Amino acid sequence: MQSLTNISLKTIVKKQVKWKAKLYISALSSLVIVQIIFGLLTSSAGSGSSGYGGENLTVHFSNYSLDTFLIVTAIWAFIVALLFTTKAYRIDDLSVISSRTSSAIANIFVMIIYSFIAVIIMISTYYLQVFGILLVEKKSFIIEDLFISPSILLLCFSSVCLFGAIGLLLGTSFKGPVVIKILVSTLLLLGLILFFMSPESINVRSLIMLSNLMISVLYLLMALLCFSLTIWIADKAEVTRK
Amino acid sequence: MNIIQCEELSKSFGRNALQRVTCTIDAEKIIGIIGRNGAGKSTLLNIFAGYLKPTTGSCKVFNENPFNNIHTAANMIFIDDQLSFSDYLSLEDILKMGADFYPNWQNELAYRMLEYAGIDLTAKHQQLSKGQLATFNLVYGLVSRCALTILDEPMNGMDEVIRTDFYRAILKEYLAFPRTFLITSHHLQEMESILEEIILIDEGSIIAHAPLDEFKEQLISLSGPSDALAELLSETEVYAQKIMAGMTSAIIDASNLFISEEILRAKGITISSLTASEVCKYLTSKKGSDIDAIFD
Repeated sequence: MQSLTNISLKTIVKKQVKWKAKLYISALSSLVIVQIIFGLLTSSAGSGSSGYGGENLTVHFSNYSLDTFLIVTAIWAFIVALLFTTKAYRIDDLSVISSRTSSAIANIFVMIIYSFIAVIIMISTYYLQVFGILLVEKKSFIIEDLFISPSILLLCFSSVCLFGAIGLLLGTSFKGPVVIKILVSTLLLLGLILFFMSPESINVRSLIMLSNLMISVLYLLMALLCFSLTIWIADKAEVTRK
Repeated sequence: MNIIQCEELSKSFGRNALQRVTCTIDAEKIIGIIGRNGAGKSTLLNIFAGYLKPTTGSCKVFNENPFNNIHTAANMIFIDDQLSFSDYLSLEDILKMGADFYPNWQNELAYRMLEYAGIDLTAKHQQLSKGQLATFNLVYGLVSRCALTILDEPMNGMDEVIRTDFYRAILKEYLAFPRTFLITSHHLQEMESILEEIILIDEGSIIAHAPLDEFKEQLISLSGPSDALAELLSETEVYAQKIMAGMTSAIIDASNLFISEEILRAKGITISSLTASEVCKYLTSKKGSDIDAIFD
């Protein structure tokens, strides 16, 4: 008999990551476009503004920060991760050597790489916006802190990564066994009920009080949990193509 | 050596798609999986490919459980009309990707076959016509040279000339690099010449699994005067029967015929063999079902 091919999971994942990262590149270009549009839209008012006026004096403050760019990037990561788990992408995986597990791991690595690139895009767009405003509003522009510290960078990366991980987990859950679908639907429903019925019960004050590094570690641990669950569910999922 | 072993395999999607299937498939053979629409062929192939999990029973491919198994995936390719590739890849890129994944990939052969079929390598997979798509998918499956090549209706949409050519291509590839081919097709007559074995599935069960010649000899056709055949037919199971102007022709199980050919000939009864396609048709036809009866 023809000798059988022995390829390790690691080798397959590496190949899948290489091709997926190349093929899904349009996801990053969509982020660039969204960020530029968002940067232009917020260039006049910033992420927040306030003002007051007297008889002869009117003062108006516009704050420009990374926060809003981060929110847009996190939403982008969530949507892109969900897209990675849709039928079209899953069926494409079957055209080469792959298993559901290898595809899930490859998606996770692509998501991590893309999260990192997304943070770079996000910061670049932020600096572009700052630079643009600096050119227009030379005199009234006050730079508080132009340098973005590594802890902020890590916080941005972990936040984007976490949203990507949640997207992957949610998308994979609905392709997994029926029990998992029911469980996830119930949890989502309960979460929504809790959010709308008693929003005060969701207290994030203690989280905000933590240092950037602590929040980053917490986010990364949560992302790791989501990634592990994604692999576990993918391992049990059947292929549905019709 | 066996590459696939199934033991009491069942799969249910609310209704039973497969029921207690037990079979063994040897390595390096071209096997036709035949059955009517909805018989359970694709479900069985999906289980072999590791895409579906049996509800009960066991299945082993290359001595391992194939479900979500990377070893099975590395040695198997599943070609059907659902095969799809990223919109961003041209056919040439797809071949490059195939070469990157499959260790036995034959790029030169792929180029030659696609050139023969007149398929432009700069085109995208989604831009191909139905026939071209089937041709490309089949080429992709052949040049990957996997130990287990599963072809689910590979010729759907191809014109007759290309179909004939590609049956030869399958045979030539098999001779050049022997491996196991599992092929399902509605064109059994065209495919007969390349098959070594047939597995016939009906209503989720395997009702026949035999070498092609043995399979064809399962049923025979008897024709002769109705009077002479009446007694004979009353003692055996009749798969189909037609009576016209005092002459009867009937299809029966060859193993139930205990009278020699000479005696039958003396009674004016002639025996004729059936094609594999006809045997499939009669074995899977519901008793008493006749399209003519609808119009009577």
